Amino acid sequence: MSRIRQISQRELIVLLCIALIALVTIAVVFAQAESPEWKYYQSEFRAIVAETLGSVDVDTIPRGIQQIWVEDLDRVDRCITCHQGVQWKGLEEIEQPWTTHPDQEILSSHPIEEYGCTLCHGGEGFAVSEFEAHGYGEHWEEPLLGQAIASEYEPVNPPPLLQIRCNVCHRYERSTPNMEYINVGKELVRLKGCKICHVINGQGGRLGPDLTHVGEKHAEEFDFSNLSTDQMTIFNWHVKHFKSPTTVVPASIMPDLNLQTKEAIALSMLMMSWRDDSHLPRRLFPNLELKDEQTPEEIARDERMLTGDGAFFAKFSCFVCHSIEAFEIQSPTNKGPDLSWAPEDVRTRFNKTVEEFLFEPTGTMKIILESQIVLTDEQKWEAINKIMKAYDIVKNREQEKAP
Amino acid sequence: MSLLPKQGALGRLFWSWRPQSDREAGEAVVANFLLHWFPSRVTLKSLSLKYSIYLGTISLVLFCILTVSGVFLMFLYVPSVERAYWWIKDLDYAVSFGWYLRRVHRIGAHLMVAAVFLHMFRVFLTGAYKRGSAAGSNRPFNWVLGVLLLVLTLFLSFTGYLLPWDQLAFWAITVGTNIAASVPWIGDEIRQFLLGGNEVGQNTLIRFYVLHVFFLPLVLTAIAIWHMWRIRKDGGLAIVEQLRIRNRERAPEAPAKTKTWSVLGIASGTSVTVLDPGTVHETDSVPSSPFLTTRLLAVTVATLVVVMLLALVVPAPLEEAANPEVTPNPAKAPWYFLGLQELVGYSALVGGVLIPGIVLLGLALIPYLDREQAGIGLWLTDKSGRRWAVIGTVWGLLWTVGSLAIGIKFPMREAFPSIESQLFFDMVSPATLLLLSFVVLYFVSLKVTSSSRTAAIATFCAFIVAFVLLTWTGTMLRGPNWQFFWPWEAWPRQPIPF
Repeated sequence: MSRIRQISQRELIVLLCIALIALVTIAVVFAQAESPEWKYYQSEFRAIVAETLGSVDVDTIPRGIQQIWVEDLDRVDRCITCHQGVQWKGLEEIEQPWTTHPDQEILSSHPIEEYGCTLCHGGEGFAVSEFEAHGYGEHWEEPLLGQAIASEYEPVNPPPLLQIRCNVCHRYERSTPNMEYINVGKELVRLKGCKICHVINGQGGRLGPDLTHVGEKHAEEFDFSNLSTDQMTIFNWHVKHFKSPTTVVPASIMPDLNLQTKEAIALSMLMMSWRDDSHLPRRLFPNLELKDEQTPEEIARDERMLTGDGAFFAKFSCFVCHSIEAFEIQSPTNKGPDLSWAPEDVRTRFNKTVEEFLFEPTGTMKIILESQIVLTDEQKWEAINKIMKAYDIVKNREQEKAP
Repeated sequence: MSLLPKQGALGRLFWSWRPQSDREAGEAVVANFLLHWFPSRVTLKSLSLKYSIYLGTISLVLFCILTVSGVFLMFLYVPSVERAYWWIKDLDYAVSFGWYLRRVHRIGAHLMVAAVFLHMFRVFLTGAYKRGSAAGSNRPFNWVLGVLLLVLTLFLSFTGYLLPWDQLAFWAITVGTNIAASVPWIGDEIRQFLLGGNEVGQNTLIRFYVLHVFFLPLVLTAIAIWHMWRIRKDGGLAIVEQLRIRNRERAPEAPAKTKTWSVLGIASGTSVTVLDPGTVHETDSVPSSPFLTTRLLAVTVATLVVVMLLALVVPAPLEEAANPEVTPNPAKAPWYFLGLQELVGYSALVGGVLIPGIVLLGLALIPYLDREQAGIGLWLTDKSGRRWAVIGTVWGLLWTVGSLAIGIKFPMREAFPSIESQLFFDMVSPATLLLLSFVVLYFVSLKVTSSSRTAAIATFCAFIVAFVLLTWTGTMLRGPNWQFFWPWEAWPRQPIPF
């Protein structure tokens, strides 16, 4: 029997080397899978508990990934895998992530089993490593609203951005304890009359965009081209826009409200809290009637506006810019002249009668009547009659006053 | 230390199989059902790494890796628009080795697409689609099966792309199926057929899921088996043809003396041997076991190692959950379609329908257009082939770069602002220019060399260059609004909530 050709040693050594690399790779994969961040935090937590609360048997502390599943919220939060001490007493002095929740009062009115963590704090509940869980990853849109992000906007006095998420459910309340920024924002909304032009919480005028769900507006939908800033964020857009609307949107007809930075921040937080809440269980809402709380005076004022001769001007949003003294209508902006004096005013300024001007307007009113407030001929005649009536009223008053 | 000691525990530990005769080696193949796949002997030229680069084997190994990891993934996935994305999140964060499984499956899929393309390039460049002289050989048909496998691989990858149901998935499939919709007359119907509706939704997800995990793998497995069976029927790898030609010139040897078995018992004399002068000579070949089996084991483990190592360092991205309201900018198809998307940017009709149609048809017809039988199995056939390969590459480079430059620097609609006809811009576009340059190259090289093989080589080399360049441009150089950015230019930053 003749000897046959045998396979070369080199070939076998190459095969052996490849197999060895495969083994090493498998070992590395196992090593990596076996050493997640949270294991370190859990072992540290046990050490801290043993040191601080000597009476507790550390073996009773659960190991492995921990999670809170809130079924009707469709939410899984694994934050407590690392933040194991949130519900413990006696760890108040310990640093993050092992510390007790700093506000036990809030925690008892918002039980963690019913609310989870991320509903209020933001962040990615699914994740179990710090960077991802805090929602800083590129593809997670709701980051943890904590100090780290707030100090990007105001390093000295970071705004409490967390209140944005509180107000997702507390939005219909007139004011809420411990939500000072949001409360300032809500007060500004009433004071500046935002609802005259914007629908907010389902009510308001239609001159500007509906803001009821403006918090859902996606980053791509904002135009940053007129904003010279490094912070290309929705929040920054709102702040800059509140401080000077026409700088950010040159064609905007929104008036400059002369806001302080803090007020602009408060309003921006409020805007970003106006999310679509239709998927949230009703049990979460403190005020079960899902509309803005109003004082009796406000309700009476609204009713007055909607009855009598002035109702026409309220209905067609004329009062946004024009007061009508004769019908007790007060414009929040007073951008245009009082309509009670329109017959005289139009004559001196345009050398026209009110009829001529309404049917053939010029200047700003031409644009407004063509795009924002489009009236039929019938409605124009109604407006003219009411303006003449108002003119008579103010004329009579003037004559009565005259000596 | 010798790895092959005659005796010794160490030697046995590492290598126990040492056949002492051809018969022993041959019996190993006969006795093992799985090894029936291989011939008893295999030529040294077929084993050569320089010849085949084992790209077909690598593709098959990748397919096996994908099947195994895919079956595991099936246990952890629900094809539902409400749940799919969150299951992937769980896979990444909570399931043991889930993150790794997903990375292996993803990187394996990308590598398989690449390996199948490279395998096709290799088979073309070595002229391995030619019939040859072995009885019953039909390599041209096996090439067509290969083109079919390429299409199936692309479609498998494309259907898998949708399953994570994130923004990347949703919009890649939207863009991809929009390319299909540019087919005239029946485009919308094709799109509707693919999507199960007018937009990507639950119907699309379940359609793509079933195609991805059942239908396409089944068809691909069947055709892959056919493809490999045909290699045996075609007389082995194409390079064996060169050995046959050489052996034909040798004097035929008398058949070896051997025992034969008759009905009545053992008889002596010579065996019944057909003296085919084309038969591969014994000195050119080695037993498949262990020579081929060892090689295949090495290639298999090496492929596995590459996939495992890459999976360790390349994360599988998961973007935001799919949102039909928000279009990412830029929205891109999977990378292997980005060359097409680049062309579609110039003209949907020419770039999205005409060129891919011609390319697919051209690929399938190559072995029928080029029936020359010289130089089978030799890289680039001969000296003229090598020369025209260079000419084709340079030609492809110049015209592709030129077409891209025209497309980027002088958009046709700006050059002819007064013309409104869509047909005009379809016809007068960089895509058409590129197509014409290929047609010219083919006919010029055919005319000059009078060789269909040389013309094919020139055109194919130009095609490879254009494919790579266009894909690279679409993948790396196209930013928001499909604007062109050099690699060193930063894209404009995307706004974020906070």
